[in-house]
Formats: sequence, structure tokens, C-alpha cells
Amino acid sequence: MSERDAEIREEIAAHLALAIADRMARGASREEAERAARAEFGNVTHVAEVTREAQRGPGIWLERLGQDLRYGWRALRRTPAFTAVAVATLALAIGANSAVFTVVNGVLLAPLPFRDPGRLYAASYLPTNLPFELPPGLDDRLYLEYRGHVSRFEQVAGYQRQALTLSGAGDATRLAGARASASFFAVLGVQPALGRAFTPQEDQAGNDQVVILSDRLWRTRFNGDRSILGATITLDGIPRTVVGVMPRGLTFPPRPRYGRRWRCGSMPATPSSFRSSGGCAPMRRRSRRGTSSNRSLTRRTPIGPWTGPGWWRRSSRSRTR
Amino acid sequence: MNEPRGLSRIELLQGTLDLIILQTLRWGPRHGYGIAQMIRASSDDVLQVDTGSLYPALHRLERQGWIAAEWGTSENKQRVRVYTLTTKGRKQLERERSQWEQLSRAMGAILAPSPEPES
Repeated sequence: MSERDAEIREEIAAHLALAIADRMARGASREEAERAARAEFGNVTHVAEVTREAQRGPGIWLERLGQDLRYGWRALRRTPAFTAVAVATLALAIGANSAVFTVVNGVLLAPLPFRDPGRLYAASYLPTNLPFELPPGLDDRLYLEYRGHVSRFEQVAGYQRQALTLSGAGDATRLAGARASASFFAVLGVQPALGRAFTPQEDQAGNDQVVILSDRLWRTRFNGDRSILGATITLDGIPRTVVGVMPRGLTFPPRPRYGRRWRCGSMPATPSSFRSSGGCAPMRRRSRRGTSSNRSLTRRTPIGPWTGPGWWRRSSRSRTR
Repeated sequence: MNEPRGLSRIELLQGTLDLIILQTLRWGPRHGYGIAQMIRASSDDVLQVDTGSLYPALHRLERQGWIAAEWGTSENKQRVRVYTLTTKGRKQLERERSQWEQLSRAMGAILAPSPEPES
């Protein structure tokens, strides 16, 4: 007990002694006086405690916190096995939570890096086993059909993911890219940071020797040199002209390890020149502003004369793969 | 018990205990028991201060510098802690007293039967 506690105790004892003396002076017996004085005073320990707190003032909570921490620390030290298990449990739980959150955030929560992603739809055959089975892609013929029926959608774009070999710029390397129609950038609402997007003329077969690079590829392979615009690079042995570089951090398909490169492929201009390429990519379409997405969605049957393809709303990154 | 008890003990208003203690000490240094007795006597046994409120209040007032304390000896040779009103405490007492008077006047005005009831 500290000196101040002792002082308070003594003060209380003095109070009791005076009260007893008072009562005895009025004729009570010592026993009676003691009992009455104690009864009137109340709980000595409690009074001493609240008095001590008043004395210390507002700093008391810090003192208490310190006491609690010291007590907790001592208790943990006494039972090292329990402490180890508790700490390990916490560490695992925190680790697992952050891991799960990282995935959920990336897959479900973070918005697509495109303008107005709520109005983006991917058209595809309805996957039989959503969302874990990849839907089969549509082909060029369907793209052309859809493009002819754009009333419900502002614009339609097609793409097909492709792996290509880049040679002639350092060691040959395998890149993930996509063949896309010229409307692709307008549909996604993104534009190259450097240079330009594809033009409609480049949709025509024969004019398609143009390519847009991702920012990362541009920096790692071409040292971020701005003179890359107009330069020729070799992809799969075919020379292509670089017309643009996408903004930093933007890749397509939207996953960091893919999407090094954007490339314009030739889209057949007419259904008659339809060329089976083993399935072109899902179509991307942007609904018209003001069209309620519900209405768009209710129209799940194909627009054209064929049967099979429907829409499904693209609400997460994972589903498009 | 042959203890005279207050007929109806009144709960002290928040903050009035400080004023009462300061006022009590105006008449000279006093120990805790003496203060309690004096409050009871001067309120005609109506106010009975709980020791669990009195001692914390005394130590708080001491910390605020409104009263000073030192160990002394009572009439019957009991070593007691004696409290004295400081200059600062005297000023505080004046402030609190005028506030109290304002409050009490206001309460009186509110509670007094109006001489002319609205008709």
C-alpha cells in the first residue's frame, strides 16, 4: 500500500474514532458506539478506494490501463503453451481472413477498370454450370448478327484471347493478348494513353497489321520509349505497327499476368466471308443509356434466327474467363 | 440507535457538495468528521453527507487547490487531517455562491404561485 493509501486509511480511522468518541460522550457504550459509527460510515474499503481515485484525478484511467496490461502480460507469461496456441490461432485467422479478402476484393468487390461497368454485358452461350464452367465463345458470324441488332445496346465489340510470340525485341517471349474489333475500346470506355485506338478501317481484313501495347509491356520491353508509336514489332513472325499504348495498370483480359498486349485482328466484314476460327470470343456490349438493365436482361432469347446463345450479365471478373 | 436522523434526507444536487464544503470551511479549519457533522447540524439534520461522497470531494478540492490539508490533532488528542480554505478556494466559493443564488432565484420564480392567475 502506498503512502497516500495509508494516509487515507488513517483519515478514515480518525473519522471513526471521532464518531465513536462522540457517541460515547452522549452515553452509548463502547460496543454500541462502534457499531453505530461503522454502520453510519459505510464500507471503509469502498470509501478509501473512491477517495484515492478522486485524489488521482483524470489520470486514473491510464494508471488502470497500465495495471490491466501488466496483469494480462503476467497471466500470459505464466501459461506459455496457452499463449502460443492463442497467438497462433490469431495469426492464422488474421492471415486467412486477409487472404480471403484479397481474393474477394479482387474478384467481386473491385469495380472493373472500365467506364460505367454496370452497363457492360458479355454475350455468350449460357454456361450450363455457372459460374465455374467457362461458356463457349461466340463466333464471328454471331458478332456480325449482333452488330446488326444494336437497338438494345449502344455498341457491340468482339474480342478473342490469343497467345502470341514476340520476337526481335530482346529474347523471344510468349505474350497473352486479344484480337479485338475496333469498337472494343469505345465499349469498354478506355482509350490508349499514348497514340490512338483502332479505327473502323482497321477492322477490314488486310488493314489489321496494327497493335496496341499494354503499359507494362511498353516499359519492360521497349523501355517506355515514346518513339514506339509507328514502329514495327514482330508477333508470331508477322510485323505489326504499334499505334498506341494503354494507360498504366490497365490490362486486358483484366488479370495482371495476362493482357500484355492489345491487338487488332481482322473481323470478317460480311457473313459470307465468315471464317471459322474455332470460336471467337464472347461479345461485349454496352447497353444504351436509359435502357433499364432489367429490360435488357429479360430478353434472354437470341435476337437472330439461330437458337442457343443468350446473355449473361457480367458482374465479376471471374465469370468472363 | 439514539442517533437523530434527518426526517427526510435529500439527495444533494450535482455539484452542490463542493459549494457546501467550501462554505463550511469558511468558518475555519476543520477535519472530515467535523465537516460532516457541521453540514448535518447547519441543515437541521436534513442533509446527511455520505462519507463515500465527502472524502472523494475533499481530496478532489484539494487537488484543485481550493482547500489545503495538513495533519493536526483534535481536541481529544486524535491525529486528524485538517482542511483549510485557500485564497483560490475563497474566490471559487464566491463564484459558486452567486451561481447558486441565481439558480435558486430562478427556481423560486418558477415555483412561486403567480399572484394573478391568467384569466
